[in-house]
Amino acid sequence: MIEQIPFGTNNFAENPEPRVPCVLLLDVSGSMGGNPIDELNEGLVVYKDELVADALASKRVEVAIVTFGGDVQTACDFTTAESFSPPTLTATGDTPMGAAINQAIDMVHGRKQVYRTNGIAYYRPWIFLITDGAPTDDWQTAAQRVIQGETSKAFSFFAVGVEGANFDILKQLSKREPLRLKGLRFRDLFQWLSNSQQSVSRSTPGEEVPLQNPVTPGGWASV
Amino acid sequence: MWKTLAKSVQGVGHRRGSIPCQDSCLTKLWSVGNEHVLILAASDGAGSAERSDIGSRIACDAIQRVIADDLNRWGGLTSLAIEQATRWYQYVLDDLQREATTSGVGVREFACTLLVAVIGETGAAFCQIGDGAMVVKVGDEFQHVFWPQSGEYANTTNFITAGRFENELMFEWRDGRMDEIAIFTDGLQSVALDYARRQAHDPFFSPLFKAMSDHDNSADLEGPMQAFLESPDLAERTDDDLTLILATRTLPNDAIL
Repeated sequence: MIEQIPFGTNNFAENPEPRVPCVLLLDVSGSMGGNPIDELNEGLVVYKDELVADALASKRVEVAIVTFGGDVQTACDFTTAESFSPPTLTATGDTPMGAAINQAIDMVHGRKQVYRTNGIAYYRPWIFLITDGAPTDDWQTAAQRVIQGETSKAFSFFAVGVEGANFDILKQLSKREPLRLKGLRFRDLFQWLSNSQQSVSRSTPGEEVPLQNPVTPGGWASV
Repeated sequence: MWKTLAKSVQGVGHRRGSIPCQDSCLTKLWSVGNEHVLILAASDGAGSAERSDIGSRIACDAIQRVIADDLNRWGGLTSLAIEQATRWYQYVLDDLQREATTSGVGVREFACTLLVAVIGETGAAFCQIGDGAMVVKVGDEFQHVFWPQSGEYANTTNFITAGRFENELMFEWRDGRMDEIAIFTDGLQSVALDYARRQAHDPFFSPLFKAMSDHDNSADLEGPMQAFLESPDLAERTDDDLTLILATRTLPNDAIL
């Protein structure tokens, strides 16, 4: 894995725009090897390209990546879309999903603190989990924290299962219905994610942002 | 006397989505006794509320009306307390409530913020619910009166219709004479305020007020102000509706002698 050098993550002085923080919580366990991980990597590139094509989103959406496969790693700490360079992930090891979720929640809380210290306004953070398996560690505590966080609107948690994912557990992990990725349409998924975040990043007070439903015949997901 | 310039323009996002401009604003100069009193009001209708474009218009009209009545009754503007502002806002809420009842919808469909400045010759009252800000020139410095109200997240704020507005109402009476005042809604916040230093952004206001003082007739600036609010530079920073009010006191001739 190529180490990301954090650079330009705290450019609050030059870029005082409100932020939409998003943690991508990506399963890179052994079973993701081959086509899935390649498609996932391609998807990340699409995600970056789509975000930077939008002047507002490129300054407002902040991406972080936490991977879990063997161990939990921060592949990329929060950085604005314009300075985000998509990593090339490799697949290996088991699936410590619980620990990864805990780390993502901690990062979201920490990031809010950084925004507050720097006087930066922010939108509700996203945690976006993509997995093709089942956790191999303790996930119940993490699940509780997710439900708590959703209830108190501390963040929004989305779970996407790739072929082979354990949907029974995913259902217990999130308040929202987990989404089933059709085939390996990671590119479509990330395009959708970018579009949704573009809408959120320009939403104004009192506006609830309706997300485009990905569960349509042409969409990338099914329930 | 006063020169004023006030405009609400539809944001790029609203133009794209065929949503009407939900901001409203107005300026009104009243001559009460021997005093000129200027009323400035701006209101931003909530994006999620169906009739907030009407709500913001009613809010600006109603607050102006109730304040003008009081001024006439008092024969001028003297130091006020928050109770007075609460009464004005209650009057606005009653008006919105009436409109909601007439149209058979909930009052929340008229949700809007409301910022009001009442400027006399020896003092001024400032009231605010929601985001956006009012800025006054004090000495050489532009100062915000209140920091915009915002919930934890950037897309949350308070509205007059949200119930118990009196808990959120901010009020300040300022003694002294104020000659330059600006009001803007949240669409301009990121360019008009310096978030890092938590203060008004001088490079934003200085040139605008310079233009105001350079032109005797503020009507000459209507076109340029519209063009400024619709400029691509601003559109890149925000695609929300934009409202800007600028007011400059013009010195009477005898004051110069």
